[in-house]
Amino acid sequence: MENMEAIETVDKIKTRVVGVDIRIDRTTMAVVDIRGEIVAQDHFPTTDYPDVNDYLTALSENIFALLEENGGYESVRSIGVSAPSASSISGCIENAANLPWKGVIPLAAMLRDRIGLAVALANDAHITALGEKTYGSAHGMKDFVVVTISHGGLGSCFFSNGQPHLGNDGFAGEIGHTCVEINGRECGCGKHGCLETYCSQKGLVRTAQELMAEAKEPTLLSDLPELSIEGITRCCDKGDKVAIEAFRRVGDMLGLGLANYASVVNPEAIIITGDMTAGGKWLLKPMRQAFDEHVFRNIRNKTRILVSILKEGERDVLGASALAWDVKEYSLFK
Amino acid sequence: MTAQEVLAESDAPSLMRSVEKLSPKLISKFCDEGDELAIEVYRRTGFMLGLGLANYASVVNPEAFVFTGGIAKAGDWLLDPMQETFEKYVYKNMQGKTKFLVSELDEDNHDVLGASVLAWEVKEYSLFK
Repeated sequence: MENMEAIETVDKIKTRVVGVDIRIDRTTMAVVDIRGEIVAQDHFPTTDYPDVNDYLTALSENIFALLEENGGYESVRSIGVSAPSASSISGCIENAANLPWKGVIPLAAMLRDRIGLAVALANDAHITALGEKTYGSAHGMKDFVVVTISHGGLGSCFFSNGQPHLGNDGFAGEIGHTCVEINGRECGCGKHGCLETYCSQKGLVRTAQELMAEAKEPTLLSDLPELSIEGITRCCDKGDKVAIEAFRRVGDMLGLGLANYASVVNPEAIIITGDMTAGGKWLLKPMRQAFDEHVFRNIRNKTRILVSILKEGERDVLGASALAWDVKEYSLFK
Repeated sequence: MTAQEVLAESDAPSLMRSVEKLSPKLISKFCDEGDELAIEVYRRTGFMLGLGLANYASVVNPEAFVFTGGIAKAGDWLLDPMQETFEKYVYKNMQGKTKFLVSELDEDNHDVLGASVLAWEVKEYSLFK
């Protein structure tokens, strides 16, 4: 029994994970503790690395550097990664339209081999929804939809009975590419009349341009150096009729699209995130009106529509960190 | 309703005009006999169905759609235009991947069978035990 001294009474657990948010322009990494507090955060430009091997070297070095200054490698359990067009089923980024790396990239396996810790990967819409469920507006909900409206697109993910609904091929949630207008606006996907051609920032700008061309009265929109969500919102605040009408039309389409979504999925809540939420009531009021008009009557007045309470810059690293806790622990050095 | 609209739009002859009460079954029969307006009725219905199912699939990404009831009976006069529209409107990553199946269960037994499955899932209970 002389070896008793060497026996650990209680095994140690690791109380931190790393969340990585890969976007087209920038990659953000954060060390997040067991309570969801961001201990440290850093970022670098994704666009600097057209070769995926160079990118992974940079990502690994950045993660090691961040860990060295914040509690060390030993404190970290696992890594969660968010990326466009990623599949949590395969652990790969698959044919991402806007990332520089073409084809199928086994990113989870590549990063695991470089860092020596378990890596979980999921697509950005899935991660956004997971972030909302774990730390944000969907906390405590089992059936909900998260819709992200950004510059060019409108993405979504829905949870059903507490689990993300990924679909047979992992492409579920493409509400942005449902048709809301037969022979409508041309979409980057090759079809016509997709919801996102009306409801993304690009769609709003196009609607505003169409209205400006038709307008008989002067509009403050003409004075803007560039049409943007913020600029158009400011004109609405000043009472500009054309700007208000632009948001009304966008809200009308969004309400129709979300009503169809809700009629199929019957969520407890729809949570809206992304740049477009800056439109505030100018977007949300007409959206609500159209939603109530088009949604199946048994669901009307039962679906909550919420704007995310999480900060834009933190939601996805938090979501990625939540995913990291889901993957089985693994270490090269144990 | 689509049949009434199609008939109202033109003066073209159609077997549908001589019928007092139109049914999907009758319209299918007229299609088989080559009635142009009857075919147009199913073409329009198939278009709307294909568009709706494409939007459904883009959201849910199912492995397959299974048709039961009236849709299953209408046959290719409905399913061909439906599938053509579906492939045109569904999100591109799902094109050519979603299967369309017609239920193989007997129409009359379909729902009693389903209900019997549900019965096995409920916890057993008896008044007399």
